[in-house]
This record gives sequence, structure tokens and C-alpha cells, in this order.
Amino acid sequence: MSVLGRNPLLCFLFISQCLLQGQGQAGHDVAPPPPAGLKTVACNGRPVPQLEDIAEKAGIHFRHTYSPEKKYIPESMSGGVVLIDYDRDGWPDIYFTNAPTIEMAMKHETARGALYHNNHDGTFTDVTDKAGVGTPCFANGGAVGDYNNDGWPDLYITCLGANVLYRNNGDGTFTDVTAKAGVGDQRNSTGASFGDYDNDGFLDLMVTNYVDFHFDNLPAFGKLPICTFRGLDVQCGPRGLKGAGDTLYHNNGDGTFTDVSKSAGVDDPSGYFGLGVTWVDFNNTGRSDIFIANDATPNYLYKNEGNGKFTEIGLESGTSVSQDGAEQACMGVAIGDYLHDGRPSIYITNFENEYNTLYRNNGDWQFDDVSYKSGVGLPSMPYVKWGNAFFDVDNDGWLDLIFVSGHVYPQVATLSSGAGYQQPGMLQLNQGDGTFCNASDQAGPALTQRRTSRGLAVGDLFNDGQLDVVVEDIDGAPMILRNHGVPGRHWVGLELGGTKSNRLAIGARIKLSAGGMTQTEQIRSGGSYLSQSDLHVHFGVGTTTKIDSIEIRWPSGTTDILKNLEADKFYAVLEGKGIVPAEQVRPTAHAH
Amino acid sequence: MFELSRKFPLALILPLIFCSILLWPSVFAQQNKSAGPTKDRSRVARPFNLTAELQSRLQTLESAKQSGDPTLISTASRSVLALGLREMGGIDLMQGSAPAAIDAYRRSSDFENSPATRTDLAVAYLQAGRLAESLSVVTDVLVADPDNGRAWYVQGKIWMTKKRYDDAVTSFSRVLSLQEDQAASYLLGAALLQRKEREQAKTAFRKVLEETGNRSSVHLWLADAYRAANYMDDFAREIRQAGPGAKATARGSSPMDAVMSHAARFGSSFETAKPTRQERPRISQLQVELRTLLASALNDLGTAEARQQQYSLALAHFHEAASWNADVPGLLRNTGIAAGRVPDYPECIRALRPVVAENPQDNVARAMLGTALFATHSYAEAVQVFTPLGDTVLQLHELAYSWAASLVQMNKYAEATALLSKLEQQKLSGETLMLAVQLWSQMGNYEHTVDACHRTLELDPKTLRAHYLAGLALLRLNRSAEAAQEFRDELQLDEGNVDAQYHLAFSLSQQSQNEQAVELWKKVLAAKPDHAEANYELGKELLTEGKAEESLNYLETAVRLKPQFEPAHYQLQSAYRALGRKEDADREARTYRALKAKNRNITLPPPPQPSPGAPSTD
Repeated sequence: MSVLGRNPLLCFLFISQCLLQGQGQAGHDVAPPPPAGLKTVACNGRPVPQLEDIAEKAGIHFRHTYSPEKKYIPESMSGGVVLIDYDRDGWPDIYFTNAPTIEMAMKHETARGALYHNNHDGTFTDVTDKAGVGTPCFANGGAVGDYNNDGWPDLYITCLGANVLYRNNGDGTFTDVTAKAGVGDQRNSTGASFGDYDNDGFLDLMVTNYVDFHFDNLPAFGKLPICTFRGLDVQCGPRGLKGAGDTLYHNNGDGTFTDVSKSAGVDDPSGYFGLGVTWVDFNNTGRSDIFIANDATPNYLYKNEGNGKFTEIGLESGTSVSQDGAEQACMGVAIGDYLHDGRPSIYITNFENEYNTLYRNNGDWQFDDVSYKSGVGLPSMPYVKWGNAFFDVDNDGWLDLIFVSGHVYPQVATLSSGAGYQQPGMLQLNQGDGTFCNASDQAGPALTQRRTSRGLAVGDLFNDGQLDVVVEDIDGAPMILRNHGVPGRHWVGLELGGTKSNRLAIGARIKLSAGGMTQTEQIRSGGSYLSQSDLHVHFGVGTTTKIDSIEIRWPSGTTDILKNLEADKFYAVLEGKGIVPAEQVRPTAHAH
Repeated sequence: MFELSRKFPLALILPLIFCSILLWPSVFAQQNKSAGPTKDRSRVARPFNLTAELQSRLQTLESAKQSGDPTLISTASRSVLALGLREMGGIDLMQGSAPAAIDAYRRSSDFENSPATRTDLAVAYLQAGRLAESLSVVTDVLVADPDNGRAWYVQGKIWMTKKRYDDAVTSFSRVLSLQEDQAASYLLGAALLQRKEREQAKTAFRKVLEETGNRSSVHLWLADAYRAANYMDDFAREIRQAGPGAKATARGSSPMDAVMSHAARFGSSFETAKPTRQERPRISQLQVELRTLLASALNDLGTAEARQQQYSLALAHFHEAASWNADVPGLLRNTGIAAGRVPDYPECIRALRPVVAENPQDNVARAMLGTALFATHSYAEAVQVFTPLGDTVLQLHELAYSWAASLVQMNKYAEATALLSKLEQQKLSGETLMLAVQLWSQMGNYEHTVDACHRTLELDPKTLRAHYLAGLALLRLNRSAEAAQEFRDELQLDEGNVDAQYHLAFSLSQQSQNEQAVELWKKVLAAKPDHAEANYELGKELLTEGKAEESLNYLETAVRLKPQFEPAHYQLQSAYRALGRKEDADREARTYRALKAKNRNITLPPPPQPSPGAPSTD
């Protein structure tokens, strides 16, 4: 027997390996060992809808401005996509955020975002200039909410620097009302979400901030070990940079907001690196709680105590870190009742070598990390994941999952190992038993194209009963993934209008019973990665053509119940009145 | 979950590298051309009025150096050092610096057991007032050499100082029985007077007067001897005989002290005369020459010892050499190389930095310095130092490893990969391959890690830990089934390897073979109850299975064993929470949060200057 094993050289070797494995994550935490063993399950024996990228032929010519080297962390973070039916014609329109490079910004140059009007014929028209929303700021993401309850969805843009609230004038134009409203968080905002936490009928606004970044204090590229990744010099952060705190704006009901972050207990004194955020009624209390995905730091779950205060219960609820207790680099957040148990669970996208985390909601503020069990963890490991969504892509009545990827460091393109700089997206179908199979390779070539994607939003862009996906890339063109659906599957669409509640019914909880299934959904602002999905409600109902019932619990606490509806139709529902013609939930005149 | 608790035994690996550097053939060639020890020895200071004996010994040393025989060099240099130090002691004594003389004589005696030197030492002790040590040393000399007149004389003086006049009379009588000596006669007379043997004393003094020509100064010295014994008539007589111009000893000083100091004025060979004003510059010059001579001889001695792999001894001698003269050519380099082998890396770095700066072509010094920097985790400087070695480093595989490892530590993976790839083209030993394994793994190249492990096993299928390390890499590659097989293979070679058992269990758990994993972890804990990771994994698995109560003990143990291991606190809080122990759960959650916060507390230093014209984010 060789004595090599007792040789101190090898002791040295082994120990060094143990001490140093996982190094090279730059500004991110060291990931725990990979969760091998659970195999990626490909979807077999079931139809998979084709997702076709129609961006070009739909007339989407937007390109995100980008720095090829991405020497500074803000250059890797922008790219939120916002679906906003700004003209309330019932067809979702699209806003793409844009940000200049740091070099451009230093020269006071801007990058133009774009608002595309849905032409109802599969094409879009760039209406940015008319709308006046082209250059709000160094824009990261956005959210939609009708802050003044005039029925016109307003647009909030998060920025490196002061954020911008665009009031929708109802005539195809927007007005920057940030100063008057008092919502221009001066820091480095990323996620935003409107929600009515005190159920007073006016939408409040939660804004996450990322790293404390100043143009007159640029962190030096690659100079320190923390600014390297697998031996490559890369941008610094988020680790090593200071966090920037979060903000909750309370809507005063008069077009102004008050910063109540501190008194509400959501100001993020620890300075975690906030990204995705959304309001969710996690425990069916009728009150909206807040979930924030933090990069490289624990996530926040703020339980709404109902008295204007929130209690952070991330750790206690099991949603702040992975099942190993590891802080993950969380980017996007999706919420969905994927088990049909009436409870919204949480799906989060993470960094390379970190699995996407699925926190199953067990009720009573307890969650389990079921990422591996459910099959969502393993296949996501190689990628740096961003925008994500729960959505019923095949209208079988079960929420599926999608995410898009792309590395933050262009420098990794030179590495022979790893998933590279440009990375594919992934579609995973719900198998109805708490697990998901991987349908990426069967959904058409667009999704698996290697790209540098960031924001992702979902909506039925063409009102054909199929949920489409809009993806914004940071290094160029976006994708419009048109969903060609699965024949024989049915659906129902809802457009809600609040009366006592906020006009867009954000926070309304919808319970649908059809075909022996009971599904729940909530209308949410924000979410994904710095993005906004369409506020119209969509349910797939499988092969049934009849909806047994739909119960809507409005944020005001009132409930409307609709029974015996035909599938494959859109219904407009006005709070307290039930189904009404669509015009009745929409504003009838220009706001101003 | 891999082990985190072992220490980094660099101290064990690096001597091998240093050893390899010294065995580097081309480096030896370089050494001979450079200002290395061999060349330096030819620059030993030329003898300037050194004693004939010392010059003779230097010749012998030169001959020994020509022979290249380290034993001969060692012996010859010791011989030079012994005498050189004795001469240095003599100068010190002459200059009234008894402590320095004592050091020199004692050090001389370390190199050569000479009665003359030991007698000198006794004199120095006596001069320093250390009578007991002086007496002890001189008595030893006399036991060995009863006919050593000088030793008897020194002993007599000691007795006089101790007022043991009977013994002094004996000692001085023995001196005079061996040879004529005025100082001995004078002191004998003085001692006899103290014994009130006035007539015998007079006889001794007469002899002194006869031999000195009845000098007036001698009468004065005799006067003091009489005064010391309180023979005041005799005292007065001697004063008169000294004549009107003679100057009596001041009343203030002790008469016996005066007697003892007078003894030194007779020009006795037993006494050390103080240098004259004219002699002082020459003595100072001689002292400088001796210092250089001693430094050179110590450098020679150290070099011979280094060649005989007695590095600690060599380093001590190099340091001693520097204390005599730090500017001896090659000394710093030798110091650095010996320090590297001891090992004393900070000293190695201190010594070799200037050497390499002065002579960038000195590849041995460069290699040594680079390795010492690597050993002290000064990776950036190590890379700087190694880089000029270029591909020559590939001749020494372990050295190439040090360079590559430094590059890895600096996150310079591309350069490290290039170097390692070149290294792997060499015919490597299993040990070197295993070192490469570490670096591939560290760089996240687990495929290559596995490959290197397997190549090691091709060289020796029974290499311990190769399967184990391959298993760890395979776990990283999500290839847990293969990893499990590697761990099984490791256990075939070493069935008591608890870590392999632990990781086998881990890889089984990764394949959803949870029951087997649990059994194995229990087995690990039976063998090693304080295996923190096994406690943690078992506790976590049980918690996942809903066995919160059962998991508690394991998780609590894991937390106790590794209180800084955050995930254990996290799982424990989950277990407590599942059991409704909210207070305990909250406590663990607090600990977990605090640990996480502490560990993420990293901030970049602010950049040096604001960028002009920057847009504000405020």
C-alpha cells in the first residue's frame, strides 16, 4: 500500500481544497455543494406549446444599450420589461427600460427606453416619443399601478438615481409627477411594486434598492480578489459594496405619498441588496404582505400586521435562505398556487451554481424549500437566472414555470468551463403532483437560444387565450415569445375593476373552480426581475369548457362570486357588480 | 459538505520544495558562478599582522576550501575561529573590555579546547571581578596542566584578590619554580608580607630589585607592598630609596589594589599590557580585520554545515558571522538559503530579497525566495519573484507547483492553467500529480481534477486519497453515482477512512438513497462521534424526513462542535421551530443571523479620487 495518503503534501492538498472550494464567486456568496442525484426530468408524452420569437416581425426594434465589458455593476442590472395596457383597450402594451453605460452616464448621455403600442394584429408601434417616457433616467425596472385611481395605469420606473413616476394622462401621454408625488427615491432602485397594504383603496408603493453606487466613487474594476471571478477581473459587487436600503411609500390619496419605510419596519437597515419585490397575501388574511428577493443576502418576507407595521419573518418562515441555510443571490420572484392548495408559493431565480428556489407555502407562515423535490432546482444550477414567472403556458390548469438567464460578467466568455456568458432560458411544466418537467427543448428554438436576458413579463398579448412572454435582454434585442398554445385546452380571462378597492384591483384574490380543479390567483404589481406582467387575470382550465365558479375577494374585503361561465372568453368584472361590459371597468375619459 | 477544520500544513510541504531547489542541477551550476559560498570563501580577509599561528591556520583553511571537503573546511574554519576569537578577546582585554573578552574566549573555547584560551578566560573573569568563575576555570587548567606557569600566576592573583595569602604564596611559588618572573616575585613578596613573613618577603623583593636594576619606581611599588601589610618603617625606607622625585601612591587608593596594579607594570608575559597611544590605531585596525576574518570563517563553517544538511547550525553560524561583519560577500544569500531549509521563511525572505534584487539572474535565490513567499502566503510577491524563472521552473515540479498555486491564490487562473498544463506534460510523480489535483480543484476545473486523480492511480493504484479526492470532484460535477464509487474504492484501500465513509453517505443522499446514507452517517458517528459534518447531515436529513425530535441531538451536537458553522444553526432553529420550541428557535435564528452578518461584512476600500464631472445619483 502506498503511503501517499499519509503524505503531508496531500493533507495540504485536501485541506486547501476544502477551504477554497467555491472560490471565485466575486461579489457573491459561496454556493453550497450542488444537489446532485435528482435528475432533470424532461417532459414526455405531453404536448408542449411552441414559443416563437416574433419580436422582429412584430415591429419591436428596441435594443438595450450595453457596455461590452460591464466594468461596473449597474451595467449588468438593467433590463426590466413592463406590460401595461396604457390605453385601456384591453390589449397589453410593452415598455422596455433602458440604461446607458457608466461611461455614457458620466458624459450625461442617456439611453432611450421604449413604449410599444399593441396594434391588435400581432404587431406593435413605437409610441415612446408621443408618450414622453423615453429617457426617464438610468432605468432599471418598472411597475404598473393606478396610483390616483383614475383608471389609467401609471408607470413607475426605478433608476440609478431618482426614480420616476409617470402619470398616465389617458391620451397616450404621460407626465412625470415624481416630485409632486414624492416617490423619487434617490438611490439605486431596482424592484418596485404597487400594493394597498392598508386596504384604503389607494395603492402604496414598495421600492427595493440595490447597492449604494455613486458616479463620483466608482469601485475599481477587478482590482481586489472580491472583484474577480474564476481568475478573471470582473466588476465589483454586490458583496463589498454597501446596500442601499428599501422604501415603502404610503399613498396619501391626494396624489402624494409619504415615506413610511422606517415606521412600517421595512426600511432594510441591514442594507441587503434588494432586487425583485412583490405584494402577496401569503396567509389569506386579506392583507398584502411583501416579499423581497435580495441578492447575496437573505430575502425578506414582511408579514403585514394590519396596523401599518410589518414584521420580517423571512428566517422564521423558511424563505430567507436555501434549505442549507445558504444566502442565495436572488434576482427574480414569482408567486403562484402551483399545488392548487389555495396558498401562494414563491419561486426565486438565483446566481450560477445556485439552484432556483421553490418555497412551498405550507400555510401559517411556514414554507419548505422543495426546489430539488419539485425538480426545479437541478436544471437551473448552471445559469445566472433573472426574470421568471408562474404561468399556465399550456392552459392545463396548472401553473408552469419559466425563467431566462445570462451571466453578469462578459469576461466568462473566455472560460472553457461554466455555462458561458450568454445562456438559455428554461420552461418547466407542472406535472400536477408538485413536480415539474423540463420542456425547454420542446418549446421551440427561441427559448433555448443563448442570450443575456434580464426582465421577463407574461401576458396574453394577442388576446388569443395563450399567455405570451416578453423578455428583455441587456445586450441587445428583446424577445416576444408568442405562445402557440396546445389545441383543445381552454381558458378564461378576467379584467377587474375596483370601486371601493383600487381601480386596477391589484391585490384582488381570485379563486376559480373548473374541471374539478380549484385555482387561485392574485393580481400583483411588480415581481419577476424588475418587471411587470399584465394585470389581466388568466386561468387555463384544461379540457373543460365550463367554469363552475369564480370567487373574487377584493382588497376592500368584499367578495363577488361568478358562476357557470363559458371558457375561452374574457370577462370584465366590476367590484360589487360582477360581470360587466369591459367599458365599465375602464376609464371613459382622459384623466386630464 | 466537506471538511473545514484541518489546518494548513505548509510547514510540512515546503521543505521538500526547498530540498528540490538545492538539487536543481542547473541551479547548482548557477551557484558556482554566482557569489555563492564557494566563491565567497576565496575572499576571506587577507592576514594583516595576525599572529603567525593564525596565518598558518588560515592557510590550512584555504587548502581545505580548495579540497571542497566540507569536513576539512569545518575543521579548518573552527581552528581559525578559535584562534581568531582568542585574539579578538586579547584585544578586548587590552582595551579594558572584560565582558567582550569573556564572550570571545568562551566562544573560542567552543571551537577549540585550548588551556591558553581558558587561562585567558580566567584572566578576563578576574578582570571583570568574577572571581569564582575565574578560579574555577584556572583550576581546571591546572588540573590538566600542573606546569602551566601562567595559570598558577592567575590563580595567585585570584587568591590575592580573595585575601587568601597562604594560597597565593603557594601559587606564586609554583610560578617561580617553573620560570623567573618579576611580577610573580613581587606578588609573592606582597603575599608573604601579608602573612607577616617579612624576611622571606624581603628575599623575594631583593630578587625583584636585582632584576629591575634598582629602579626608583620599583621602590615605590615595594613601598606600597609594605604599606599594605602595615610595615610603615619599611614603607618609609622604600620611599626614601625611591628618591626625592619619586611619587608615592595616593593615599586614597587601597594599598593592595595598588600592589595588584603594580604587578602589571613589570612587563611580565603573564600580564596584558595596556596599549600605548601609538598602538591604539593599529589595534583598532587589527580588530576590524579580525572581525572580517571571523565573519568569513563563520560563513565558511556555515557553508560546510549546510552542505552537510545541518541547516539550523549553519543558519546560526551565518547569523553569528553577520554579527561580526554583515558585509561579507555571499553571507546574506547563504543566510537566506539556510533559513529556507530550516525553515525560517521570514528570515529567508529578509535575506534573499536584497540578494535577488542585486542579482536577478540568481535563480537559486529567486526560487528560494519565491517559495518562502508562497509559504508565508505572500502570493502576489511570490508570483512576481517566480515569473522571471519562466519554463526553467519546470525542471523542479514542486517549485512549479508553488508558482502555480500562488497564481491560483491570486485568482490568475488563466496563467495558472497554462503553467499547470506545461507541468503536466512532464513526467510527474504521484505526489506532484496530487498537488496538481488541488489546484485544478481550486480553480473549479473538476474534470481535470478527476483526470489527475486517475492518472495518479495509474501510477500507483493503491495511492491513498486519490479516489477520495476524485470523489469530491465528482460531487462537484453532479456525478454523485461515480463519486460514490470512488469513495467505495477509497474504502477498499483504507476501510477506516471516516471521511470517505462520510462522503459516500453524502453522495448516496444525493442519489436519493437516503436510508443508506443515514445508515452510513450513523456508522461514521459510531466511529467518530464528534464528526461535525456527519452530525449535521444526519440531523438535516432526519429533519427533512419530518423527524425533528430525532434530529435534535445531531444538530445540537453539530452546533456544539462547530459553533461558527452557520447552516447548523439554521437547521437547528428549523428543528426547534418544528417542535414548537419558539424561544430556542429564535435564539438559534439570532445566532445564525449574527454569523451570516459577520461573514458578509466585507467592504471595498474607497477609490482614490472622485471622477470629475460625474453625474450625481443624489
